Amino acid sequence: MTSTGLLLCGLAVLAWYRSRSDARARPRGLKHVDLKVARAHLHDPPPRWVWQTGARGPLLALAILSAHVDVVAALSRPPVWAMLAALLLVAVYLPQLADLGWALARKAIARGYTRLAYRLAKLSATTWREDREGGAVLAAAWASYAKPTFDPDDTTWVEDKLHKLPSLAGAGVVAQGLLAANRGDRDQARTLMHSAASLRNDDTPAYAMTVAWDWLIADAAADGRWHEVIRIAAQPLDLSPTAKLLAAIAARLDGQPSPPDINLKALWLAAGKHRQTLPWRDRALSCKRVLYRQKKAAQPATQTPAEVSGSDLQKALGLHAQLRREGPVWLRLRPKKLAELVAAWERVFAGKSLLKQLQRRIIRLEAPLDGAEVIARYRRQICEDIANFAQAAEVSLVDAIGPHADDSFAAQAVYVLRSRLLVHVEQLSDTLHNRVRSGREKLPIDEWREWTQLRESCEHATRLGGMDARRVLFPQVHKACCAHAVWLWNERKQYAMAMPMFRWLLQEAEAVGDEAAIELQRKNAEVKH
Amino acid sequence: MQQQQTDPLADNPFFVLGLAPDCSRQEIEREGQKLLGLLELGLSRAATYQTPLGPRERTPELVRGAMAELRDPKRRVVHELWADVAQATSVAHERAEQAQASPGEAPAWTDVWQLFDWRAP
Repeated sequence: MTSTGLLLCGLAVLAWYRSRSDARARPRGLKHVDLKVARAHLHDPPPRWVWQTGARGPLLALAILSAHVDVVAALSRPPVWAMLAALLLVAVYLPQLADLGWALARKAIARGYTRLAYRLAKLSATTWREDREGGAVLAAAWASYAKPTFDPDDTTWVEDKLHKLPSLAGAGVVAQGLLAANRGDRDQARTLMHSAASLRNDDTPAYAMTVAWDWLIADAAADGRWHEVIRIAAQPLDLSPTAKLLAAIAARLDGQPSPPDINLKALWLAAGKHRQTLPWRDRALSCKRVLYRQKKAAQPATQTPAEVSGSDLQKALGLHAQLRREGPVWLRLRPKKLAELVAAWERVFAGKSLLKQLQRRIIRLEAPLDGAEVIARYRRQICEDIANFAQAAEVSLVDAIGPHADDSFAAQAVYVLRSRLLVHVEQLSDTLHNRVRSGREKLPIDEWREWTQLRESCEHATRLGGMDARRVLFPQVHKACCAHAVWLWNERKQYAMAMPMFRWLLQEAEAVGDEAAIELQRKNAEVKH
Repeated sequence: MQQQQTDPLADNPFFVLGLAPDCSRQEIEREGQKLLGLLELGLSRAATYQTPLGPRERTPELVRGAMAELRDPKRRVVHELWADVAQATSVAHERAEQAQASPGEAPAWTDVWQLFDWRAP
């Protein structure tokens, strides 16, 4: 009686949660809701099944407990009761049995058996329910990546399977990311893993995204980018226990708010591979736990123009060289340094001393030169260098330097950077548009890669060039990307790939306020196949 | 055809030849020929040169390129402007070295890949 009551309670909780998550999953028409909320739903759809939520563990434990209590109780009762109890037990363990294929495939993956992993993953009834073919290819790519050395034959075999997928979805993109990582191309792998996040929809198994986030977290931890580990883990994602442990360790090592020692130990126990993780767990435990984000003590500036002795030119050059030497990561953390540098150069070019110094040298060298022309060339070189700094450090020059006059040095630097960014995006969108118009097909994964590259450069241009760059770019990018997505949907039936493109175009259209494009992309984003 | 892009700071001809911006043409030719001879013999003291961004490898091609650049007065004056950085950065360079010597951030977990059954790159 008690156990049946417990089970009924569990089912009630499940039904309640399901109805709640269903209600959240369906915004009632995009026109009548807050656009921010709508966008959040489009890009981060809430979980639809209780098994994809944090309630999975407690519910499963409740069901198993009640089934076991029933079996024990039924032993002293008539056989009908015993049979019913046994049936209940089977029902509880059925999901585990149904996913036996994947459990075995994981063993094959760990041993690097590519073909076996592929076949076993196909038997998985729950993990890859939404995309069994894609899941099998992902398992094969993972197994190939688990081998102690790179095996070109295996990789070719997996690529062949990937290219034969009828429709590319999230699992296929993650598989391609693993193949890129297997070849040693981590940049490409990183891009593909990030891009898989935009493919999150009903066709994408949640586990594919877990693999993608795990890889990104491992990639950041392997380089010591603990900040990045924390940033990824802070998002509402379905991470593996090992990734959760890494996030907790990263928080301790980086001096960020972190879980208490007992939780860290529990995460370590849940993660597995205890011998390999033990030294890092102990290292994290030896770090002092931080409860709140602490403000870093103000550090003395390592170098400012005022500290360097000499002329304005020498001060500006000193700062310029410092930024070059410290590198893009340093500059990313101190974007104001870029403003200081631009201000220092502004002083150099506003004064007369540079021209005088140059004219003295021209006379000394007896060269038939115009000083103003030489300064213009020098100024152009400096602008190019500053644009390089901003691009490498991913710092928005417009935001860093703030308002400026149209004829200032700052305006020229912004112009150089913006035109460079726009030219790159325009080249990519022209290439894509021309290819779509001529109907030249690529493999689905290459179509996705080309679109990802265009989207990333567009977002990069927006980050660095600001809203002005975004508005200038939108019409051309919209034309090329919309034609591409429509072609993929209508002609090539790549629904899973086309839908994120429509959603992204909708997001961009809303950002720049293009009413016609908003209406068109809303219709496109709501189409069902 | 596009000209090969050179770094105005790291590949500055004055740094490559180890000369001051106000040096004479004769000094440029003399120093260039001397460095080419030293590089031919493979002497280690000619193998690197100092820049505000740290030491760089010196090659015969770089030396010949630097000499050619400084023979053209139009290009030379711009290189002179860039080379003015040497005095300004001496203090900054020392500070950067001190900062590098101090203990850094948490180390990287290089074999983390094994936890997920992935091969380390």
